[in-house]
Amino acid sequence: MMRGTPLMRLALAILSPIFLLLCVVAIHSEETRPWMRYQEEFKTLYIDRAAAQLRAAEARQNAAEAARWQRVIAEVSAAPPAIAQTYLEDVKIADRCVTCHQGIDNPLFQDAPQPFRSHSGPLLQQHDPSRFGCTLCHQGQGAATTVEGGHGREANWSSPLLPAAYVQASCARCHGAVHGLRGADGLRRGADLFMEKGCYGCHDVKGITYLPKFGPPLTPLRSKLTDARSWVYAWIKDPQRISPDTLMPHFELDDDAAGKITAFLLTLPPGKAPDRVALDGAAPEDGKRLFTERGCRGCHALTPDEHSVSPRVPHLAGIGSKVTADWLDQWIANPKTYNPDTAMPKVELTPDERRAIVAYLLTLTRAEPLPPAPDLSRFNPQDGKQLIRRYECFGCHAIEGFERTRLSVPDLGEFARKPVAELDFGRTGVPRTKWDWLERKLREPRAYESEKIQLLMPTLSLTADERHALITYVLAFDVPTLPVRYTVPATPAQRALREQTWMVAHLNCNGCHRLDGHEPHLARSIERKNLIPPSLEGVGARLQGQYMYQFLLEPKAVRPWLQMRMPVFGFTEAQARALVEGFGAATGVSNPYTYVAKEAIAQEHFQRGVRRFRHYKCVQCHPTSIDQGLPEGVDPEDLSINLMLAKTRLRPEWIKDFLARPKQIAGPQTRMPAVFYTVEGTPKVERPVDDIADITTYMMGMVDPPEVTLQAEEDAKKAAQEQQVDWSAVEY
Amino acid sequence: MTDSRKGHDDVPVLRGGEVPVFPYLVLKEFLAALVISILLLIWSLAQNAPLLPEANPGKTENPAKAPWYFVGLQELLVYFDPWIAGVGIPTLIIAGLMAIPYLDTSRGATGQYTFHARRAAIGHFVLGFVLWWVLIAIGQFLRGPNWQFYWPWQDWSVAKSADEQLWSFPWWVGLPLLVAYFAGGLALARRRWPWLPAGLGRGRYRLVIVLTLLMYAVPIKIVLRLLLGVKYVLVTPWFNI
Repeated sequence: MMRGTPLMRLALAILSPIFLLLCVVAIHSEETRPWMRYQEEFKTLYIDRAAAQLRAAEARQNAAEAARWQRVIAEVSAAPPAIAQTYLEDVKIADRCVTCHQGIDNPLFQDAPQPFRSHSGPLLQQHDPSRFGCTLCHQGQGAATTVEGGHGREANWSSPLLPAAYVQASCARCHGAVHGLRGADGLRRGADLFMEKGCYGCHDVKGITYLPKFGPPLTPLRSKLTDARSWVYAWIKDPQRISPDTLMPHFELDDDAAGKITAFLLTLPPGKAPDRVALDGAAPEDGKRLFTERGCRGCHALTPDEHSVSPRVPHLAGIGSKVTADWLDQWIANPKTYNPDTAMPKVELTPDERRAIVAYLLTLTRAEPLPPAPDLSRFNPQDGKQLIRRYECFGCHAIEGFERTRLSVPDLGEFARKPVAELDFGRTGVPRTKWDWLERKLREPRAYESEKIQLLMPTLSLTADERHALITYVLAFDVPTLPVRYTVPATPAQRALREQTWMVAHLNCNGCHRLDGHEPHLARSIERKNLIPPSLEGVGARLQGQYMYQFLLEPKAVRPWLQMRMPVFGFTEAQARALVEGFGAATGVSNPYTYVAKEAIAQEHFQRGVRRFRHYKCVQCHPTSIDQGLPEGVDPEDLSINLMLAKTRLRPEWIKDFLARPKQIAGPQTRMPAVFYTVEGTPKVERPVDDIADITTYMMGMVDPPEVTLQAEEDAKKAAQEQQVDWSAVEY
Repeated sequence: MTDSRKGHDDVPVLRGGEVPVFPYLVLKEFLAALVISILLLIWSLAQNAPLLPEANPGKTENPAKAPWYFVGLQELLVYFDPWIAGVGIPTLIIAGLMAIPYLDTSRGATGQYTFHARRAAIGHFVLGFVLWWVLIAIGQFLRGPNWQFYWPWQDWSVAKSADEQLWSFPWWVGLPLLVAYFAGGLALARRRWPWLPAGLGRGRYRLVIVLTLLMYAVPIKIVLRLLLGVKYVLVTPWFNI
């Protein structure tokens, strides 16, 4: 038998075992998958923990439980390795995540190391994993059974595992509303920030429509500014240098571009000039006092070391170097004549008071002069117009000539389904994920610029938290793709809550009112706390819807001792209703409207209420009529609201709750004594429940101001007796 | 064929300097198969099958490439009209390859695995074969968006201009050129290798030379296009070459 040349035999001797070995390795690696190792580890862990439970049960001599753990151990030990899968037929999702994440719904593994730890929070109770799977929320590649593959960290897998920090973005896949949705706070914050930071000015997003332009109109600049050329130029060049808090983003324009834009803006027609105002005789010190007393400081900051209630509200340090007296007077008199979309309300002031405030504000001049503006005559205003078109300044500002210009900013509408390969990372080393891309984009909007493409997005001042919330929100932008069985449409309450959240932020209610745990901004400049307008915390549960609605449309004085009045915001009926329903929804009141039928009031309870009301001397603190003016010689701090208003103003449920727990409802600083229960909840009177119910019944049916004297009570009794006519004795 | 020499351990010598197919050739081929199998096994262990982007009817991939074994044909589309590149040339290749056993009936070098005895036949075949692989390599690795040529170190996201100044020979130049190419090729081969027509016979000789000339016409056309910007050598109302 011939055996070839020695070289051939040598090659055969070396290559054959290598080939055999490789075959064995290949077969072995197909047979032992990574998940099998995890299942073995899990099995050991499970048996350990179950054994510990078993020992504990035996120590407690609980035979039934011990038997149960015994059974668990037997079952777990006998279970063969197997791929576990949740299959959702209607969305064609096959999730095998639980093949490794075996402890996901098992409370024994709350502190176990990954991948065995049980799911955090109560989410799985509401989202049964067998009904929703895993990747519907977490994304990743459910069908894969390797660590990298399952988590979707593979080239061209379009939806890698969402980091836990951004997983709330997935809530929006099913839930039509994020306001009033437990566990979606980050997403909700992002949605709010998207509006509050003015992102909507340039980026069109479904569901945000018909909002006013985010910035002020730029048309009549020349009649507004004292030195329009320097001011506009300096502002465009670097807004934060002029007003450090402003939300106007920094567009990083060079001198020429800023000059061209300024030249164009100054060619715009000035519009109707405001009426001349004579400031002689107006005392700035009166203005200073009025500015605080009338609540202007609720929103506006005056000194460089303080901040306005929101960055959107102009900081008034340096206002004296900015605007003309005529314009300021007209603006305060009626802000909507200058900017119909402004959030600034109309505060009731006499012309003299207004002039005093104007005189005062004009004393607030800039410490540092404006940087000099270049000679604008060398710039062609038409170039400026082109730049405004390019940078889309008209997204936030109404500018004459751009009323019909459409935005060409990238559509974010389907960002969630945009493949990461379509994002341009420029020359950066940013990790190739959508969230890392967004993080850098929001931090440094032009980071991805290259010779191929010039980016125009301006630099925004956002904190890391705000960026995080916005990223979560943007990652949720998607078109609905899931079957109707999965969708949870927004309830009317949630829609109202969303609108209310926006309006409360847009109109800066927190400037004067305590809200969501935030002290009113006004409290920084006013010492006597009872001079501060009431808290809006839980107002939806306190006030009747009709009352709130009327009040918002036409504010009426409720607390006559307050200097400051609710200003006129000029709400539309729809806005007032949205606020009423939103405040209601924020406190879990589904229908804030109240009607107590007078016929339904039981007379015996009503009468008992009258007696109890007198017994507890409610009228001592609560004045019964505001028509007679403030009582003489009484410190307004000791006064409370006229109780005659209660039946049209307060919700009976709230009155009952408030009477029972005044300190918990109105805060420990309230002057309302705890009459019926101690703070701990022990009854202080004989029949607290009945007393509270009857007093409430009386208040809801109160017709005449309650009298305190016994004489009046006897008169009333007599009158009632006189009315009892013996009809049998009367000829008629 | 080795039975008569049974019992001898030294290499059996058959006719002048030959060795038996078994084990010498079979073992060589077996070793080649082994090496390829080992390489494939290592590759398959180290590398998963790639996951390409999800199909999206709203988005055409650019460049859209054929499977690697067809990319050479796709590459030909740059130089020839679709009908010629996609139908004409493949048909000629297949028919030509099928015809080889009937065209080359020489008994010389039978049973020998040698280059020296069949220098011309093997040489031309290998050149055609290499051309095919070169086209595949260019199409697979050096073609970017819009089928533009990109070196491996060039960035695909930088678009290349599609403007090319191309011109065609007028027919009164192209037709004589083509005729001259084939007639000249036939005549040249007859003068260079006079034994060829003698061995093959006139008909087979012409067929062999025409097929060979057709094969070389492909790289010649490519060079004409790349160096001189020639779009068509012959323009007719019915087809363009």
